[in-house]
Amino acid sequence: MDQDASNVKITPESFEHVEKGDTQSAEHISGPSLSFMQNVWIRFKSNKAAMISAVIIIVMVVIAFGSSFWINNSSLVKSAPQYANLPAKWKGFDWLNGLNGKIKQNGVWTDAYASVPAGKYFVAGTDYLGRSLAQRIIYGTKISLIVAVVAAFFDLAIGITYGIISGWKGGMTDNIMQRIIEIISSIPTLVIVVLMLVVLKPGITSIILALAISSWTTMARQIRAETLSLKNEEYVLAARSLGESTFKIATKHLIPNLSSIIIIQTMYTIPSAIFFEAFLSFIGIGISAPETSLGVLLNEGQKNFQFLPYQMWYPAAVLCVLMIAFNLLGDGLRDAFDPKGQR
Amino acid sequence: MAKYLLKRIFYMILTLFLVATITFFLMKMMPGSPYANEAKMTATQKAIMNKQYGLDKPVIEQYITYLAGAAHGDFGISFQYSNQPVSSLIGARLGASAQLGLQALVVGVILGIIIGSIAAMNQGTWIDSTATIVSIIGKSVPNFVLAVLLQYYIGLKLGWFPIAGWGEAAQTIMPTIALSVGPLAETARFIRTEMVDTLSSDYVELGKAKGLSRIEVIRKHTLRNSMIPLVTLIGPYAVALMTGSMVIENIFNIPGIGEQFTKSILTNDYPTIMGVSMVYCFGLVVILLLTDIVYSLIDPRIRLTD
Repeated sequence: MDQDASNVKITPESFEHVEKGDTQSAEHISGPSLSFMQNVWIRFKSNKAAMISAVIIIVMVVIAFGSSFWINNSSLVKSAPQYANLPAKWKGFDWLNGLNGKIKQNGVWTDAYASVPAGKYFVAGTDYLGRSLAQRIIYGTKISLIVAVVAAFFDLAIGITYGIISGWKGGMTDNIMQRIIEIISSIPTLVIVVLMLVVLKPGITSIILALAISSWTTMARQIRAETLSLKNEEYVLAARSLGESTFKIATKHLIPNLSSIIIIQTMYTIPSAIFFEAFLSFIGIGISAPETSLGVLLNEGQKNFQFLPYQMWYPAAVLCVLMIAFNLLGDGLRDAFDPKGQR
Repeated sequence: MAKYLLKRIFYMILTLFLVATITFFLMKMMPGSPYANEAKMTATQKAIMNKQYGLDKPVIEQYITYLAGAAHGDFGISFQYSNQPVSSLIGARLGASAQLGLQALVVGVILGIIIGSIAAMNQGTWIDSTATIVSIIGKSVPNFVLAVLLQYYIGLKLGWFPIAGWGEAAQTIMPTIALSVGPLAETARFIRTEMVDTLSSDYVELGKAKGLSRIEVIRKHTLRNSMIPLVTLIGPYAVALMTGSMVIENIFNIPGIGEQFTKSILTNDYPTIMGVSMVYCFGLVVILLLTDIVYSLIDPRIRLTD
């Protein structure tokens, strides 16, 4: 080394003169500066599955809620026995078994619409009381979505408040609050939901309440953990020392920084709430006739599955698509918000 | 360790005590009487019945009797099946549910590990995407929908397996498949994530550099270390299997606790509802404690302290 170094001769000619202006341009930021949400959006857009899922969910929400003007409870309870158990029939699809109003009976495709006046179509067939299955599925989807979204909202409200208080107060309060969470989360959700449903009258309200009570613990835990670290951030300390009220710190500093956890966690609560509603209604302890939901439709469809498989297939397909879309959207949002995290 | 365990057991007992208390008072609040034909009973008959069931005593005394009984696994007498104790009702059905749950867990976890590790080894290829799609579908399709489809298409149309019932090994196959899909999907996702992480870790790189074959690296270093955190999922699996068994047992007509639970809810058989709830809670707290202990045993980095 020493030998090499001594051999090197540095002369003024070894250096190259650089114009002064160039140093300025080297410091120039060429890309546009992106906010956190813009980055999230760019990452989210590049995830095709999540984008398609988001579109599917938006379409389903628009159809389910937009149809409220035509499809409501009073139009759905009307039965029309003359149209009972008709399979799907679409205009212009006479060539396609399954959509031409024919049904397989003893291995032969027979026209179920023979005694129905011409020009009557049911895009998803009818149920055992002659009610349009398409309308019932749309209405059922709406109920499932309402249950899921409202349950998720309560889950959010309880979980965030509880988590922030626990993390912010710390000490004894935190200790007690965490022990309570530990106890609640070691009781199976099923038991909480069932006890709630036994005590309250089965129905939408009870299901929402039961789901809200049983599912907030995960959210509260995550919010608490994040609050614990946020609370020592300098901007929070600054706000505290300037005498800002705790409520304002929570809403202005904590919640915006917790937003990614909140969004991701909510996206996982929704499909599990949809599943639970369908599950409870399917075994007959959730929503029951004359009310309808995807679970109720599956329950009814299952009874006739051997002879009228479409009555189960259609609601099942809608439920599966809804679940897949929410799960993919949840994964997409998680990856978009937290690219370094587990994938 | 001992201190930690004592503390955990204390919380277990506290949890169970709270659940027992809450269920007891909830059920006391319920309207209606336990006797099916109350209208026809005379006052004397009612008094005799109340005395027999201990319902003539003050609520606090009933509560203490109930707690004392529950501690011994005695949950009183079923309203629905006259004179049959809840404990024997549940006891007779525990076996079927436990067998079904265990089978589903084993099948789901093993298949999940296989699918997940194949996906991780072929990261970024079509095999990986297929595995991802399988696990998303498995996670999303409700097990009861799958159960009905299996029962009809495999059981009835193809006639491969008996469509319902319990007793023969063949009858357990379809319910096991239906129930195992959830754990399978979850395990596959989990193992894939863990293995992708482990595959890029230093000790795996070192193993490769030292000339270990691909299979050896995966078998000895990657898979083993990826499987350890899987233990933490046993608790959530247990919860999912309890929920799942309730509906699967109904579909396949299996005499398990889940089926009993549904029946007792539909018939307002309060003592049985309380008994099954307690059994579920007990099962979960024990499983959660065991998972913690097992986890600390197989991964010495995890210390059972606060």
